[in-house]
Amino acid sequence: MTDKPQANAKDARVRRHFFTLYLFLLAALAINMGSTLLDLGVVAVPLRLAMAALMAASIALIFMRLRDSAVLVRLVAATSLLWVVFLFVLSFSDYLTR
Amino acid sequence: MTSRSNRTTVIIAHQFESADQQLDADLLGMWLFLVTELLLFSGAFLAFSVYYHQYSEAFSAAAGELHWLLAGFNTALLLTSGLTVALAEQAAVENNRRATLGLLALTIALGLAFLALKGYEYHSEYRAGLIPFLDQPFAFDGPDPIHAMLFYNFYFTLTGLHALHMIIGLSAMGVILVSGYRWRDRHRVARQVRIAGLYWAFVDIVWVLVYTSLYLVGR
Repeated sequence: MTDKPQANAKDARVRRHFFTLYLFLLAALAINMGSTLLDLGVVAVPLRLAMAALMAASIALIFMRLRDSAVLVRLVAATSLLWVVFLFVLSFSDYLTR
Repeated sequence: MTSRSNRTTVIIAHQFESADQQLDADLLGMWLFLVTELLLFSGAFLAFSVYYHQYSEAFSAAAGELHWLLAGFNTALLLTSGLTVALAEQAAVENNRRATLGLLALTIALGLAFLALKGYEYHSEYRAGLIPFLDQPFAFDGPDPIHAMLFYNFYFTLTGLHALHMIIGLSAMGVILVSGYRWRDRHRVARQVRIAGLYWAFVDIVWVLVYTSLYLVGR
């Protein structure tokens, strides 16, 4: 009967990916918070931002299912990142060279 | 267009040929909306980065006054809600009504807990005199209070904007929870949960960046 819940091996795999990502996100958060207790010098800021970027990218790829999305959706996501890169690179190329 | 199969009614808007086409259009529309949201937050992050670069000492001292551990716990709550809404999407695809509605309700509860803790943070900052508006004297006693005030302006703008997005997301999920309770059109519920889940995951991403930039970078 089709109105009963229908789960298969693929669905179980998707759920496993969600739980794996969740554990990764908590671990990454703990590392980022823990890094504030260490004196990491000049690498502290890039490390924390890189960790946050990795967390953000993982959420987009797995929770937002970008990995399995249509080509057009992936193109929209990639283009949006390109505009953000333009925004930051062009602005900082001004501020950092004054 | 309405088609019936095995007691389940699939309602498709007249401009679409199939439920899959409608879902693809909905997803693309939501992603395009999220692009505009990303650019909105990016502008604020860019301004914050430029000022952090110029006044890093004042910004770091101001960031040191924030409740970073409480906000870290709040981040974990929000990441958990990201998991529950993703699982709700999957449960809706599997036609599991009970799990879908339960996980949606859990997501809403986690979101409300996040907002309650954020409210507590705002209250303690109000008590400490760290709110640079509301006609309250700014009581920051660290170095360069003028630029520390600028930091708190960014802090309240970014976290307030994020909280507003959370309230919108929670309202959308509340509507889906109520309208999907009778489970008349499971495809429609699955589509709605998927779209709301996209929005909620974006809210998660923004918070990860807000938390790292405001609470951790200057510490």
